[in-house]
Amino acid sequence: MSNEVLVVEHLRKEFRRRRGAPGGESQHLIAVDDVSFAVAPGGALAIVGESGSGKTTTARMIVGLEWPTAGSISVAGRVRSARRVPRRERKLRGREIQIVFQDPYLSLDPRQTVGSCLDEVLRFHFRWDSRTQQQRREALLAHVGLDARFASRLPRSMSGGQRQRVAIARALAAEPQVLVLDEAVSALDVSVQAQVLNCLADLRAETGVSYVFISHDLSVVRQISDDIIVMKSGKIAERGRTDVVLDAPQSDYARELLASVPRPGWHPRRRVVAASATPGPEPVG
Amino acid sequence: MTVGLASRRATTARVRRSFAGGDWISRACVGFLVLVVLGAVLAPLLAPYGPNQINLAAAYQGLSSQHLLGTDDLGRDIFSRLLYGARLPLLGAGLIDGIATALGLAVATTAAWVGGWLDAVVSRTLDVLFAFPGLLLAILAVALFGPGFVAPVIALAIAYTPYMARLIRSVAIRERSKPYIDACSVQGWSGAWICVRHLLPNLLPFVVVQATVSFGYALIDLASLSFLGLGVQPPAADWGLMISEGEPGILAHHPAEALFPGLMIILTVTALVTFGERRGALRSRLR
Amino acid sequence: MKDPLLRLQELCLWLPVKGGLAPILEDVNFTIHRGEAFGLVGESGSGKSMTARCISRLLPRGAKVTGDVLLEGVSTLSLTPRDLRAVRSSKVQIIFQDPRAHINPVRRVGDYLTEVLVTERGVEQDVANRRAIEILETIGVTAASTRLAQYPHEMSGGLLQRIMIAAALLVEPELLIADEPTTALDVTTQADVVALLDDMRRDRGLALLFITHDLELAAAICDRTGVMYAGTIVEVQTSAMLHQRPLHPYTAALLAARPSLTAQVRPVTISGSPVALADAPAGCTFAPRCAYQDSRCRLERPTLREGGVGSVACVRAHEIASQLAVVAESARG
Repeated sequence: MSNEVLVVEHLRKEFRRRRGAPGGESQHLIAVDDVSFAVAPGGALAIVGESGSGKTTTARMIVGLEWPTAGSISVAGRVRSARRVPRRERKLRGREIQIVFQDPYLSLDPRQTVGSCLDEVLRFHFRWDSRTQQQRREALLAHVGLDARFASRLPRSMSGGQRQRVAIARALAAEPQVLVLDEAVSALDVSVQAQVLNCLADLRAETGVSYVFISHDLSVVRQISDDIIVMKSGKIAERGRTDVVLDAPQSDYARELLASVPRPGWHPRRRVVAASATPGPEPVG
Repeated sequence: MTVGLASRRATTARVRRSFAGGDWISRACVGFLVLVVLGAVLAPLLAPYGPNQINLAAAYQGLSSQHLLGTDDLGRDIFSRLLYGARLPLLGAGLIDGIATALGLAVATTAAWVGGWLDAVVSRTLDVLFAFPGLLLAILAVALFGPGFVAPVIALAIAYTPYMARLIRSVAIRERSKPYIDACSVQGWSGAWICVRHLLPNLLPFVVVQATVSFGYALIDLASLSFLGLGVQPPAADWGLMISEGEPGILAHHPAEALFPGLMIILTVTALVTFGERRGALRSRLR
Repeated sequence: MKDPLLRLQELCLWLPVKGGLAPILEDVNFTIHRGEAFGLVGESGSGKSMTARCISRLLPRGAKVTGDVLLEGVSTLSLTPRDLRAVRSSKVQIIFQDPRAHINPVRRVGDYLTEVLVTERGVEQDVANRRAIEILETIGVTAASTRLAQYPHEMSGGLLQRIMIAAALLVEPELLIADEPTTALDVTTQADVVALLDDMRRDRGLALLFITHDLELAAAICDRTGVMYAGTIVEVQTSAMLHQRPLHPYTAALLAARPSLTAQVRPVTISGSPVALADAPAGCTFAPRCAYQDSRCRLERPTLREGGVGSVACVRAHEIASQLAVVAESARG
């Protein structure tokens, strides 16, 4: 248990929304409810669910963009307890866990070249001379399958797949132990998605980084992950090894998810409970 | 509908071409503004007469080769006064705009970054300040500190700050919520670093457009104060002041003194606002 | 053989960009028969959405179109604005990807549903309301009458998409165009919405043009599928045959690139990324990325040709057919 690179215990996140005039009743939205899991070094965990399942909120809590209402998160054996931390601690956290987001068109600073983006990360975390830094930068770009010439390009001259690769390179530049990928390939074309998935698989084999892969796409999840957690309405509906859960799901919800995936020979069937939506704003995903 | 690579490349080409000058209207506006600024800066070299060269014998003369735009009631050359008279309005409006933009940027970025209660307090305060008319604040300042250049400029700068801050805040909040800013936080960088290195540079295009338009409004407000006699005092050369001093001239069938400064104000502000709006439209098409 | 409901003939489209016109579609040819479901599949830059817009003439100003779009034998490209409105309000309806962007947020959902009936068809408001409630109940929306009074922001994405489908069906069109209707939805909602489209289509004998980037999704409800790349159609076949024996290398590559649900198999990648027509090279647009290209492929752009089971735009189609079948076989896992 102690050598797990990421341990999450009884994680809980509540949002308070006030309805109507101030002083009116507040509405508690429980986005994440008693979620616990662990990731081994070099492992890959997939968190699967639909909108409102809490998977994105969980991802944001793990990397420190949201603060849990209850529960604990420890990365690389160190528990993250304080919210406001000094510079040194922030730096350490940056080297433990990093994240790649879904939308490649918003993931990069539009005014920064690829090279300067990577340099900024390298200079913050490491103290290398300029020659070593340049070599490291080129190695990072090569790792994600990009030419060294990309260093001088701006995001707007690059395609979605290339931008996403730069985002992955930026995350890896900090040499984290865990990489969180929040729907990182969902916005990509099928052919580009395949390239990025293969790149990610190779990276894990070469560097031993662990993945937490958030997705709604079960086929992608099958490729990239060893273990899987299925979330629904903030709770874990099922967990286990990916191949076991996807071949023989135990919970009703996992079965329903699998039955909805388009594949050869598949015919969609309308669910018995037809209207799935209740009036109200979208729950936080 | 996905935007393919082709349309993105076409957009990039469009951007490059407009940075080089854009459509002819924008270029004309910029050209005109450059002329006005040069005229003000080089007034001592370009003006045939001094701004306060009184020559009562030549009072109320029409357009001639001696006096390009005629003379006023004291025989002062209007063309020379027009050149010198550009200095104070431009400088004043520039200071108002510069101070309000700098302060507004600082307030808006901090509020957008910190969010939560700070943002709520700042927003409500800005809403209240925004409701207060700038001109009224300037008149109060003059009543307290006396007319001149400094009091109206400072008062208007304070009045314009909430306006700029509100505009910038909405853009700052939108930008701050983008994933690339979150990625910076996860890297471990401090809020100050992220705001200065990543947030501000991406706000700058919007801020520059707004500042250009606000320069025009500040010019009008400052000229209005001078017209009311609350700004710089005679015998200083100032467009707003010239308009009010030229009123008796209108009745005496010599409207040049009031007309030409008025025209200059209209043209300068139009050029500023038109150019600013066109840059803004270009930017929003790219987004 | 009855006349097809929709026929696209050598359709070419250019859109205005600074400095001229950029080619978007080239030589698009296909037909849809009454009551048939036709899937149009492609990645970014393929032009599939633009094709849909050509059919209903929802094009930006300055767009140039050559070729023809024949709806029941009548060219829609040369209709007067009044006739075009008539077509849009009775024959052809479109459902878009993001319902929130296409439904007016400041008006009630009931207004949205009944607008066309009341303004274009002259139906009484309460009659229109009753019909709207009927359709919503058929679609499976509970509390239909309360829904009419609600605003779009009070509803989830899936429900709003169903409302958009209801609005389209209320008009009783001949052809329903669905442009990526489920891309923004959860997979369970997607399955439901797609099943709904399928049921409604069969019940009413509608023709359906289903545009998507997901080959398997198209195969699930479409009788025939067309694959688009770089602004043109590269293959058309029945959906089943497309998956078993693809005729075009791009189709086979798409099938192989999709990760499998049943086994951990490394997806086979195609080098490069999808191009739009404006950036495509001379000759076959797919040639630079194609594993089967030879010297002929760079010379001229292949046109869509009938070949027994379906149509394909590839000069080597006959030679590589068996190799492609092998690729498709291994992609199925």
